[in-house]
Amino acid sequence: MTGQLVVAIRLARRELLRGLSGFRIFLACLILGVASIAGVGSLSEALLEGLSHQGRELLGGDVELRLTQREMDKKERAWVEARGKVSMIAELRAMASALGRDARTLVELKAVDVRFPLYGVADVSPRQPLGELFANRGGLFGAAVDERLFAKLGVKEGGVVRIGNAMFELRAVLKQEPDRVAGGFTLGPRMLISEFALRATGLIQPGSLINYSYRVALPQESESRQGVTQWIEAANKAFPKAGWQPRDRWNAAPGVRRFIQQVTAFLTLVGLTALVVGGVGVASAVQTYLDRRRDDIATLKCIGASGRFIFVMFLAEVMALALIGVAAGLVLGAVIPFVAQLALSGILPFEAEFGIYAQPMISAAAFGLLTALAFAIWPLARAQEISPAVMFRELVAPSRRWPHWIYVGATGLSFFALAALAIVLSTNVELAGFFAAGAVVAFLLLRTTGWGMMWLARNLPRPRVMMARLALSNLYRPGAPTPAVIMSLGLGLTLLATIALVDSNIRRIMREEVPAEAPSFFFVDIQTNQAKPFEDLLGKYRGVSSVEMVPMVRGRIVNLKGVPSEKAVVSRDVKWALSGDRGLTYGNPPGARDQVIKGAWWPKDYKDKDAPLVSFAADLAKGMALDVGDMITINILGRDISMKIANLRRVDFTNARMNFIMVVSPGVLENAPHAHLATARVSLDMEDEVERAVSNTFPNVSVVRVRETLETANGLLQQLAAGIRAASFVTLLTGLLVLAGALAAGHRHRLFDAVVLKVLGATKGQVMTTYLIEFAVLGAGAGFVAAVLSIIAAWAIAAFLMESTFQPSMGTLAAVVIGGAIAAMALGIGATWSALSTPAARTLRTA
Amino acid sequence: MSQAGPVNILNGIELVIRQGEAVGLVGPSGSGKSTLLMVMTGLERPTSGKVTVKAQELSAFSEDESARFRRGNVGIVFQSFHLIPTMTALENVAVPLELALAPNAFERAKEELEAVGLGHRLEHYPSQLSGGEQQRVALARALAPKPSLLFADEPTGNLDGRTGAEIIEMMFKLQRERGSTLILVTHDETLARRCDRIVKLRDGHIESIEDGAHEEAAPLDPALVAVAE
Repeated sequence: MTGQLVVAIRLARRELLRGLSGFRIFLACLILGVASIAGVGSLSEALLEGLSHQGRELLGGDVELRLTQREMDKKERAWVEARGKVSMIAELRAMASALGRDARTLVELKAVDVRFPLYGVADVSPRQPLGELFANRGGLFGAAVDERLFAKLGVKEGGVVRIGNAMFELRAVLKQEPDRVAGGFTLGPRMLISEFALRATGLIQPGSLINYSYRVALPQESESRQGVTQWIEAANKAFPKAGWQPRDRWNAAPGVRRFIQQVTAFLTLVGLTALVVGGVGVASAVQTYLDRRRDDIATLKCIGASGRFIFVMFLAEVMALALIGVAAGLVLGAVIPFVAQLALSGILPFEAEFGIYAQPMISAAAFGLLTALAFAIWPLARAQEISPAVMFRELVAPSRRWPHWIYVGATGLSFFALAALAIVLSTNVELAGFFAAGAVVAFLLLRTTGWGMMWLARNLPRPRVMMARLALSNLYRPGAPTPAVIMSLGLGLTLLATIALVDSNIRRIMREEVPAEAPSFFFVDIQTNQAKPFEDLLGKYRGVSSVEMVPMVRGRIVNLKGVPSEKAVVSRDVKWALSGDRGLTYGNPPGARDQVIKGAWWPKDYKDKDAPLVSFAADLAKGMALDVGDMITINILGRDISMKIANLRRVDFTNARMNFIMVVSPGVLENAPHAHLATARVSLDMEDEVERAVSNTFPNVSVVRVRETLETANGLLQQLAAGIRAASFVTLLTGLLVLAGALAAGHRHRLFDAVVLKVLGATKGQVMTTYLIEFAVLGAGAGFVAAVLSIIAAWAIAAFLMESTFQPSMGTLAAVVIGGAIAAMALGIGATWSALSTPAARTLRTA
Repeated sequence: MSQAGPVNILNGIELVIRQGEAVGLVGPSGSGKSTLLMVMTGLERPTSGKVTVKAQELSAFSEDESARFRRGNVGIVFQSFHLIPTMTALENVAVPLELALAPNAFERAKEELEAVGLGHRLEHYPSQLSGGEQQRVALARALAPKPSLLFADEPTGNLDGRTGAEIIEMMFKLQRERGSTLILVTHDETLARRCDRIVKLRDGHIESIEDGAHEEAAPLDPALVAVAE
């Protein structure tokens, strides 16, 4: 047995040394898939390593304690000061107006103390010490700003803007802040000022939406990971009700880390799709190769080679080639991050640590080899199980037997291992699981369609028209490319159509759903004493309608049914609600009562401050396993308040209106320092005037234009869609290669048929008509499955990933599927044209 | 055309074949027999010279015109049968009739298959037929449109002696019955002797033309005139 194995491998080696032809597509498929997985993995590692090693600079300290709407009190501050070097920064949104010009915009204000930054350097241009930059000169504070602000306000460097009660001279351009990781979603340009200047603006009002971050540089003895953890534990123990969010330098940018991991998980799956599509090419290449070696296999069997010997010999050849493809893919994948480095330089807010990382290389190699194995076993098993006599005639008398159950099992096991590996290695198990299930469904559907079409073509009444008859018989003839064409074209079209459907759905939502309901403005930080004058002011303007104003308090859920929120088991899609402060309101806000789907709204005059009730968003309650009657604790401005859930509301977070997860019953929060949030619908021609009036009358109120925000969000979504399109390119390219391979596999048969038909008197046009019918049927089959699959996929993306409604744009679907099918089939026809142009005599001599 | 430049396979061929005549083309390998057959069927064009059939210059036709001309005028039997593997015997025979838009193509195809003794194999695919049977299907296909010219290129080359003899008998019988002109390419001089005339080729030119053993006098009208190089 071992001797046989050695001989089989020796023979395989001999053949390999002589060189094998016909494996270009096989290699290209593996290289593309492996390279994309290895490249994405390596780039992700480089970014994550960079994040890990620069945690201190990115966080701005070893530890950060973050508070909302309040500063540390004296005791807290003294405790922290005694245990490290502290720097405080405050972040808020504010309105900046250009002096002497009728221009204003929302800015993301960041006020820093003299110790900022504790680590790293803030890069401002022209370069100067921050102390000098921020200094008050003749009543003007200094500021460093994002370049976009100049364009927005139409001022130049040195220009003056007003924020609240203070005037600022724009003295420098802010190039880079060490502690600002990834821009993310911002509503306005960044403006860096001093803590003193912020106090001078008068924007620090009770309840103003200000985040205070206290960064602490710990002494050397406690800067180890254990030391930092102990420090945080001690701080929490000393001030259990402080309500701060601690964060350490190993977790400096959890959002960015999560984003990188999510994108990596997604792109790895895109790469895996390319690899799996390429697997069809692998199977076709192996099948074609074995078809070509039929006589040799038969000869080997005639002189004593067993089926297993044949299997091992050719498996060794195929896997050796797969190794070459995988190795080339790994080399290419390792190069990708270095190329990306050029594109990313200047965009990344931190330095990625480029290098060759073992983990993504090993997983990419494993994916590549498993794919090759999974797709090669079947054709190899069929070749080894066919008797030599049948092999000599297989071209015309195919064996439709299934391989021995061991090989069927081995194929199944390889695919299972591939799916398991994809799930185990993914940072998003749910997504990977969904992908694996989706891939199985897509494959089964496409395979079944391929087989179904072959069965149908074989069993339909034979058309009397010769050309249709030949076209149909081409679909099921031995070696027919039908399954491979349906698979590769079907998957390619599915991908294209899914992208187009998701794209058009986003555009539809932007166009139809939001503007109909969305207000024009959000007004933030309206003080209680400003509420009435504010409403009066808006009332004076025509074109202003639907003014709604509610009090808003920030609070963090700290306990769910007696379990601290950090230990509570909640579903992934609601984790965000526990990760920080959330806005909440109280009383009887308009419309809230109508949203109740379970439980009852409290009586209008309910005011029991000792038995506070809360109304909770139903979707979130479900994810947190909360129900009516359960208790939750919310930390509001350093005070823990336990409340009983009185009812659950259905809240639509997509309508761009004021939506609160929690509404607290009256009598509890009225005396807490807080501001109001208002929305209003304003006719387009009045928007500028209303904004101007509000900003001039209430300088502390931030005005957010919903349209601009939606445009920004839309822009981000479009960027995301463009990214997905770009990432899918590899898969499409692989699909095209597989399609080309599949069509090429059928080329020999087509050439023969074309020549015989021409000898019998058929014109080129008539032969071409035959192929047109064949390709049209193939295109229609692939297009139909692609339409079904893409609707399911786009619906799943809309429903589960984007949590939006979905309406398939049939026009888009038809255009992409029909256009794609026609384009792909035109390529096929183009390739077949050469068959028609080959002189008959040449083929007849060699046939 | 080879990589080294043009190669003259045929050299100063001048041949007139009369209607109803059986002509054997013999010669060693590489003498140009198959090339001459290709030229005479319009499957290949001579570099210079012309082929005239029924007063039409075949060599001046485009590829499609040649194809159209072959419908109903030319039938070819190949050494390797060249049946379409995905079509049944009946469908294979019906193809040239369908291309010629002949009415009742399938009925006629069935009659042709019965004529070659395959009435019981109509629905069989080539892979289900023996070599001799496949060649009989090929013969039926070649004769189905009742062509005036029947070409056979080593029709027994892939068959055993007995089966080959049967095919030859059948071919001559049907050719005589239908008055077709037969051009038979063969290595086998004994077989060629059964024709009216034997044209011997060597190095691309006609070495000799001899009378064969065939008894019937050939009509005088020329069926095909080939002047090719």
